[in-house]
Amino acid sequence: MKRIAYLFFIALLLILQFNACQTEIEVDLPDYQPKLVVEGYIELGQPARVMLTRSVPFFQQIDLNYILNNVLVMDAVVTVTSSDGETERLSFVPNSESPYMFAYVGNMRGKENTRYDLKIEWGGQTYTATTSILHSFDLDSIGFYKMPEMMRDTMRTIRVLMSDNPSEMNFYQYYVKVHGKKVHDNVWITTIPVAFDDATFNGLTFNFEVLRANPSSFLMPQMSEEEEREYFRMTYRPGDTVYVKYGLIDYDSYQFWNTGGNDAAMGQNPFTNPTPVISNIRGENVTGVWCGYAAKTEVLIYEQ
Amino acid sequence: MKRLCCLAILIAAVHFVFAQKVTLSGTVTDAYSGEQITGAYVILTDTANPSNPQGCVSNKAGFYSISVYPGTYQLKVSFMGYKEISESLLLENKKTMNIALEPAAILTDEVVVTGQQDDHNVSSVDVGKMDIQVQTIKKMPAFLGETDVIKTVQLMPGFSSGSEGNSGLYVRGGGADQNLVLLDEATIYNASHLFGFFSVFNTDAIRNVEVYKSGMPAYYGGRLSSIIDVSQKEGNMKRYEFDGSIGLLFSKFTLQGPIKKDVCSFIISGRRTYVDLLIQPFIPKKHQLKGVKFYFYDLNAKFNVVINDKHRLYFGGYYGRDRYGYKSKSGSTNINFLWANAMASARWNYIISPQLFLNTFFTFSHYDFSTLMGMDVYKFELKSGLEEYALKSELTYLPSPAHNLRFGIHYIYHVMRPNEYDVEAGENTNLSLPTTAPLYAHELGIYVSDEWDVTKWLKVNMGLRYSHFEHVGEFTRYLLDERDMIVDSVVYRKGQRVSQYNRLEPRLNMRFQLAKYTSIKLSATLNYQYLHQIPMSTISLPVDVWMPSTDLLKPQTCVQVSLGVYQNFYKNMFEAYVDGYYKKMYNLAEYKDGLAFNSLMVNPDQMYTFGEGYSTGVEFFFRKSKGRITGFIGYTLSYTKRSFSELNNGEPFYAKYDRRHDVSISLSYEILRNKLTVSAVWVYATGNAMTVPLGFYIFNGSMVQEYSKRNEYRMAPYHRLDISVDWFIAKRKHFETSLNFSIYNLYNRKNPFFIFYETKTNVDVSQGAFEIETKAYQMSLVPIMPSITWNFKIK
Repeated sequence: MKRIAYLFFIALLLILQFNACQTEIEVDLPDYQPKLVVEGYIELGQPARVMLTRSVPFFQQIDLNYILNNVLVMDAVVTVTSSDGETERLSFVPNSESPYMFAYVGNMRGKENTRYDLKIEWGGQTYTATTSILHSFDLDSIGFYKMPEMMRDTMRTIRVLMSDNPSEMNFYQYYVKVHGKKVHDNVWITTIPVAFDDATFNGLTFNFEVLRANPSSFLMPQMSEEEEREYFRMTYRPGDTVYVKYGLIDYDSYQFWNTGGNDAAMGQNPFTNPTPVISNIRGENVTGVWCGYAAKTEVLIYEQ
Repeated sequence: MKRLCCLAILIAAVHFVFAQKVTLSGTVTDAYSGEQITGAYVILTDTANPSNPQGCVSNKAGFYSISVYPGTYQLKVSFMGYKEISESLLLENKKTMNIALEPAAILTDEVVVTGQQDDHNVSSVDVGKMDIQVQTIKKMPAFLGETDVIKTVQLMPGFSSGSEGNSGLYVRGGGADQNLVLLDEATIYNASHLFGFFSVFNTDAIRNVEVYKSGMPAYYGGRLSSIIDVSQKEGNMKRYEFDGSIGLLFSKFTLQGPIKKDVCSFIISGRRTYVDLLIQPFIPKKHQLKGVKFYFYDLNAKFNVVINDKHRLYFGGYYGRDRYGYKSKSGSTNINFLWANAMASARWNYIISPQLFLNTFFTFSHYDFSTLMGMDVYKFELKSGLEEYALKSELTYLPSPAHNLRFGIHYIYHVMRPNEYDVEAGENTNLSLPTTAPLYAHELGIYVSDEWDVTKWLKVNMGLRYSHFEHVGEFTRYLLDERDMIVDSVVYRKGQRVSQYNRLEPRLNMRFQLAKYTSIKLSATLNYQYLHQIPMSTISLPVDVWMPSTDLLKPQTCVQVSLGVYQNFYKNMFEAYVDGYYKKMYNLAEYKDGLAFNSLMVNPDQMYTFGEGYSTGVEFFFRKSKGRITGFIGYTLSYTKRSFSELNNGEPFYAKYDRRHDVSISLSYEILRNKLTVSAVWVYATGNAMTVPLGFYIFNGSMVQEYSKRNEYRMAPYHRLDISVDWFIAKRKHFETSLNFSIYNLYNRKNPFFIFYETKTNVDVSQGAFEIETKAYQMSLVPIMPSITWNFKIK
């Protein structure tokens, strides 16, 4: 509902753009104590991957030095224990999925219907979290789709047909990755919404479009306007190789994505009261998520 | 039934006590237009005992009644802007006397238009009440050529607007939904045009405005914080009149006159903005603003007929619509916001006897909002709205000048449609969002009040209101589990009671007259409000939906105590007051934090969380209302906090529109009598409270912000100076014309509308680049804005 208010403001600002006036201001913020940020995943058939960082004051100017000294946490002891009784310590190694190029990664592979406990020891504190990899499922169908009235007839979206299990409450998450030449082309990006429940389609078989997900402009090299137009688009073009990853997540992880993840992906509305992020990490002064993901991947190639 | 018996006995008893008196009654009208005058003072002074004058004030129908012992009296009738009537009168039996007051302004140019400004503000028992004359509103500097009722009210201590671009009105720390806005007794649910820059009240079509911010008498109910009661003009009973204004932004025209002289008359008034039509030819074809539509219009109409001396009927109506949107030439992009208010009212005044006056209304109100977003095959439409059907009947009984008794019954039937979606996403795609079924409710108020001159120094207005509210079916209540997922539902049949509330609302106002020009006033009231409008965002919007009280959404409750000292100086040349208040509110609602998609499925009231709040403050007001220089200074110091167990970790937080300091200064100087007037208004308000990001982190490739406590930060203060010059070019018997020049925001203050942040990044790890920098920007809406309007009147 609140998003409607946001759309309303976009229109209001459009209307008032003749006289609306923008000035840079100094905001004198109260003191801020950085938090430990946990971004941890364990996927079906994949080893656990945990990125540990510290949050930074809002107006802090950041460069590589600052990242190395104040953001990246390199000296934590990170342990994962499965409900099967297996335990392993993750190692801090180079990792292409992390925006910082490093992550704590293990060897144990994620299994369906298994619980995973995370323990982080760092700076004299212990942080813990629990998640589960639920069961996986298959899509009824997936393929490129030409929408009627599509502006250019080579443009496509991806259409998914999916059946929801009526007997359980499900929380879904979809990722898209488009194969490309640049580093930032080959990362998994969540679709919008970042995660969703089945309340509006419980037990139904239904269609929906998976649009090309754009990486956040946040972690990108500076681009010219033309490059941006080329890059940030919602549809697929001939020659695209698209990976679609989909699956269920558990309720506690979903709560994090719904509170922290969606706002991050959609941008903040200056007229809403911000939503406090609900994290499933236990401990003092910590946020983030430890998320089990019963994921499967489909590959689609849009032939030239 | 028992209550009615008690009332009958009470009337009979009071009547017996005063039976030996004689009654002078009638109506007070404007001699020029034949319209009734509300608030005229009718005073009888016994020539044998001149130290003890008896008086009363004419009601909304212009009716007055005074009962005195037989004798010879000096009668004085006065009202601001009119020539006072004074004559000797022998009263032996009951007497009906209709009084026509001549407007002072049209007599001769030499007459100083002051009327008889008396010490009513000191002597009346009304606490926190203001009568605002249309002339006062019209003297204020105009924004884009248009003076406005709500904008004038907002200058008074205790009232604030929030910010520019916000349609809300916040009274003594209350919410934007806690104001009862009435137009001819019909409720107006969204009184704003153009996001609050204008109100729905066309000053050419209204007669008078009564405003309460505390001490609400028992005959008003249903809201906690304020009453804005606006009456439409009735139409000139004597002659035709056509007047209008032509301005840069909009024009308005009013036609009024008798259908049959002194028997029935009408008035019709309309205005429309046309800046969108004016600018369209100048916008290049490919510009993004080509296709922009934004306008509002409204139409007021009233018809009234005098059946005989005892019966009079009135029919009034209003329709207003706002539309802001954009449609591309090909039609592939279509964005629209529309809202509309409509009301109709019928009123029957019946003077049963010189001491008994019956006023009966039937009113209908309608409000709807819709938003449409269309882009290619995608379409999203949201509609919401409500209707209200009300019947009110009130008996005024004036047994003696010491008593003014009012008994009434007020019934309202509410139909609320919180939301209805229409979503299209191309063929073969069945995406549907659930529509919330309409909600139905009955609201009933029964009240009795007495304004009683106990002694010379003590006057009391005491009242009791019984209110009943019932939410009825059809209704489906969902039952949720701890994750807020629906597990079951209970279905109520049409008309079946879902929940009900019965409440008693005592109201007490007291005035202690310490000296001729000094009084102390005290009020204590308990109010309940059964309707709620929970804002989706931090500012009040036309999209915010109204909800009735339900089993979960309890009636909002307010206890308010107010104590003030009122003092006039130099024979009422200056008036002043200091008023302190404490207001505690319960069962306030806000949206819960972190609502998920499943919130679209549940009942709207399951998305709310409940808390309480208080507001306390002291208001200072000083006014000069006589002479060539007039004006006022108002200052408010206040604190407003809210406390919700599920918000801000349960810690109390300042309300968004908590105002530590609020100042307004208004001055008007008549440079050339009846020719040239200059006026200016300066306002200052503490900045709005807001939540700010303190830190951030990168997650899933995006920036996630870490926030301060709720409303911990303050925006820059709001202040602004407006000036206005009125030049009366010609004032003849049949034609008047004037020009108004106004400058809004004279010193071009960039007042904050909102603050936003822009983060510049350059991240390319392969090149060793990782740069992030965030800056804050403030958005301001209205810069310096001059306007010119030409006004005319043909009569």
